[in-house]
Amino acid sequence: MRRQHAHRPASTGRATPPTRAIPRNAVAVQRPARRSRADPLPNRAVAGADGLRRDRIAAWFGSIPVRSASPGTHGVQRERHDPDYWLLLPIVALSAIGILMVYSSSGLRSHAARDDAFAVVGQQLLWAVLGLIAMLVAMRVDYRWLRLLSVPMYAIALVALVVVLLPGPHQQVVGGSARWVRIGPLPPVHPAEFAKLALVVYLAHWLAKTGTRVSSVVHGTLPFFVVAVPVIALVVREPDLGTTGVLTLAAFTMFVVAGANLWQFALVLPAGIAAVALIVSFNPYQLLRVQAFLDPWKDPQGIGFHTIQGLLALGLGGLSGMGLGESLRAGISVPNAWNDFIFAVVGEEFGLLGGLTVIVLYLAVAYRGMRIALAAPDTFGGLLATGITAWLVLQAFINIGVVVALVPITGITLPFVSAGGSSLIVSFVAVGILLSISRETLPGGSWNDADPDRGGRHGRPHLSGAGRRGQPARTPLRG
Amino acid sequence: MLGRTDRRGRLTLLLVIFIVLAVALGARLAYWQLSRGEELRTMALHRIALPVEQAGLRGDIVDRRGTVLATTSYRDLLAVHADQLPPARRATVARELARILGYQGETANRLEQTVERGDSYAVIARELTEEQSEAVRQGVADGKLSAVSLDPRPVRFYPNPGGAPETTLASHLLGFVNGEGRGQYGVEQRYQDLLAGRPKLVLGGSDGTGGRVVDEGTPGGDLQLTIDASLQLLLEKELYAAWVADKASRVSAVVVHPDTGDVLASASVPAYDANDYAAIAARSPDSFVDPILGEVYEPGSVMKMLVAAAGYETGAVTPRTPIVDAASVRLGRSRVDNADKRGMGTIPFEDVIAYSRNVGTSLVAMRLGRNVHEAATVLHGMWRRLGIGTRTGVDLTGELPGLVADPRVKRWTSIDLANRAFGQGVAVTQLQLARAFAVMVNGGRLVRPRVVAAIDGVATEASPAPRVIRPQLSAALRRLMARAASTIPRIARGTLIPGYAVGGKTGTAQIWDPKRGDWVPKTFNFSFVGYVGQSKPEAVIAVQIHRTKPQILGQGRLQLSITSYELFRRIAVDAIDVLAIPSSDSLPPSEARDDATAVGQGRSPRADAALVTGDHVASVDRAPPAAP
Repeated sequence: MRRQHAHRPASTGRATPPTRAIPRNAVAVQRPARRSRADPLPNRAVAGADGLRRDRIAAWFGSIPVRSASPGTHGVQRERHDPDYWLLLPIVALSAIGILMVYSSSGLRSHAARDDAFAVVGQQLLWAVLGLIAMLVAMRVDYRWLRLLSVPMYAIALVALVVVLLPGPHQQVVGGSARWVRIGPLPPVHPAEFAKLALVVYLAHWLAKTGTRVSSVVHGTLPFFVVAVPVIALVVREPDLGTTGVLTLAAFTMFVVAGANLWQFALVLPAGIAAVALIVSFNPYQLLRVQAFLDPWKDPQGIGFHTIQGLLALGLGGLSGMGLGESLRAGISVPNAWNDFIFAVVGEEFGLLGGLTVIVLYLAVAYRGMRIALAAPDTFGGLLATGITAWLVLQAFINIGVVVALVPITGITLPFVSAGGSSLIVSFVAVGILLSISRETLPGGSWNDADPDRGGRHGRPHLSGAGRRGQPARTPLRG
Repeated sequence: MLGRTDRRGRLTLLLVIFIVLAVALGARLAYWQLSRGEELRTMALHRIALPVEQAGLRGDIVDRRGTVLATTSYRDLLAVHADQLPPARRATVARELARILGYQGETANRLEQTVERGDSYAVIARELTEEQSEAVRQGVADGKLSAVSLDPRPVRFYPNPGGAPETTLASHLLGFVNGEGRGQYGVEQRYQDLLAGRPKLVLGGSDGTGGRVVDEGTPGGDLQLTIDASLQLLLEKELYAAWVADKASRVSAVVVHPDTGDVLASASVPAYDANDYAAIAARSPDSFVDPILGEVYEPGSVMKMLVAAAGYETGAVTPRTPIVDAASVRLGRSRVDNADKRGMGTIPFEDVIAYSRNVGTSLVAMRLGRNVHEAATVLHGMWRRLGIGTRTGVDLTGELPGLVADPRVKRWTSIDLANRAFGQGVAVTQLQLARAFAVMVNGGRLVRPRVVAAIDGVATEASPAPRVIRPQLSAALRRLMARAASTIPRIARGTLIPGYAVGGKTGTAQIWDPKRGDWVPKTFNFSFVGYVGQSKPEAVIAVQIHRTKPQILGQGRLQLSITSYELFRRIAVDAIDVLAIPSSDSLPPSEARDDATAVGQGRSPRADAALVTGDHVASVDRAPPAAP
């Protein structure tokens, strides 16, 4: 039997992240076989009749370790195995559905407006291919590099979000929102999409570094707000309430999972809800928006208009749908049919069954993402996986929620399905990072690598030397 | 273990939250696509589909005998395609068109300018008369005209002139149809969907979905009204005469059959010309509101009949109960006076009503209960049972419920009770009054007034009329009305019709000016509500002379050129003629009843005369008049 998890010396050609940024235990040292368990991942290449072919595929995906690696070599070593292909399945399925639906909903209108039925879907195809490449690259790169990049990424995101608000030739205002930046001949980019990634990466880095101190107000909650609020506030200024929601929810999810003291929010949350209620009740426009999402027929020509158009499309779909390309509403009256309301077109052409399929696919992403987060080899990876999964799934659910009138109307894309280059590329890169983490998952992984709080910061007894001596290493995978 | 950041529990919880959210989204999706799916589908298809077939012409409205009150026919729209004319010829064509249309001076110049501009399409005139259309066709045939087109458009006509100049018959009742084909006010608005019908809707997609029928559509339906055009015309003439003679701001009346609630005639002066609605809409849009049901007023002493109804029912009074009528009675800090500021001493209750004593009626109202609140509740209860303060439910648009204070909501003071006993401090519509009196004389059944008798030849079902007061009480109230109409010689002379049973109650009300916070000086509303019939009432007539300044002969003695009860009698005589109610002189009593049931079958000579000589009522055929 061929070795699946040969240890690879740090000196091989592969780039190894700088150890400074990496918590000690991220690097597996020779591990005693104390907690040997069954192979946790079903997708490991197994030698057999098709062993060779699978090896090749796996090699391409970067999972095959260097054969010559000699066991027992001391030094920085890393275990890698196949990425989680089960995560890839719903992503590819959603992208395929996306390209189909974008074509179906935009073809006729593009043909009429620009004499080119592929005007929208052609771009989408191109972006999908670029996104896949970006994903494969991100997958093969050790995600720990991101720790080094996290601060610059966060800074760039802030700058980009400021730039988008500044008037100038680069600024593109769409529907009252300044969301796009155009630089030179490049296609316009959407800084808020990049900001999601940057915030998630930086938060994962910072939370991993903070460790258990996250539950304190001074070292946890306050700095968390200092990190998250500037990004969120800048996106609110655009204004882009949908992205604001996704950013807030994803950041908060990471914070909670990282070990935030929820009791602190027992007070903050009701106050926040009260503040939102107050703002909404004093702002007639926002109040109207809320009322319209509760009952879109209250204002059918105004606020409720978009929602009703989407619901009519859903109604036409019924149980099994009108059939691919048979949409009557798409491109005629469903607003942003190939963008924010693409789920309405899915519901019309494939009915309830199609709509439920899409929801289940996102649930599959959530499940695989959570598994990766649970089995991640270190805190950074676990939190990063949590953040990315929460971001993608919550964004999808908010988008669907808008279409089915459960969430007030916000302009936000359905990840992998909606047309839009920035969204697609960034989403694919995020999944690439997720896959990169999945290549190093451990059985029953527990993130015990974070900087344990040693001494006196919030009155706990000093734990002499435990951290420095290194904690008990975990079981290596069957070797 | 200190230092661990493993959050397995929280991550699992997060996954559970995701599952819950997904289930919520799925359930909501199923709600829209399955539970509400059919409804949404219909709505969606109606929005996408295109009307491929006109619904046909709007249905006609005819009176109970088939006289056409409203009809639709095509009139040509004249347009000129001046770009097809050589510039040299444009002036000639313009002059010829001006000649045909009868344009001169400024209008002719404007027409010439329009043609000279050389637009590919310019509307010259709408609703051409048939002669004008014919002349245009002739001109094209002769070669005098070219590059003109005639486009037939449906136009609503109200062929009968009303009783007053520059009005059409029953204009308030019928309403009109606007340029978009939507009925406005009255029957036209209330029965819009039925009259207009629905066009056939077909999906007009360029793909495979094209040709799918979404809605088969229905043609416009015809309506037959309960209105009698002859009586309506006579009524309008009587009202116009009174309006002129009394210099009132408005005179209106409604004739209702007490047993069925059928509205036989309903009119107000001033009315309007429904064929010229656009000009009136620009000038005074308020004039479209039907005052019979769209205006409320304080009716005054006619409301005393309801005190009598409550008093008889509770046993507080009988017709012969002696009542001490003083000149005035002090209630708290206020005082109630008789109109003539005199007291009549001790008189039986029926004379309190007959002589319309305010003080006596107030005292009886106080006796309805053990205290003011109880009495107020009893009186208000009688009002409610007779439909005062609620919409009658007549099949017309714009009906108001009236303004009636409910003692259960806000207690009435003793002065409130006294004032409301004689009809001040309560506002009702005339139709409500007519209905309440119909209930009082028809045996106690709360009929619902209606104006549509049949739709497309199928008679509409009369709504159930629940019994709200006992027949014996109704009979007693009818006798009281007869006594009220015959006791005071002045009123008896103006009201009674030899050979017929007539009863009713007058009402003279001051008008409150909320701006000044005082009564409008020397200005009154005069009302009369009563019945006419033979062995039983055949018509209830509610008359109102609104805001007029009578000649004041003395305290409480007001003189009008045409009083409300005289106007009532004129209308009653018209109703007798048109409805062919036999006189007790002409028929033995046993036959009277049989004939009375045959209302509307025969025609009196006078009604026919109106049709023939008056040339106010169009013939029964549906062709529009040749000239407007």
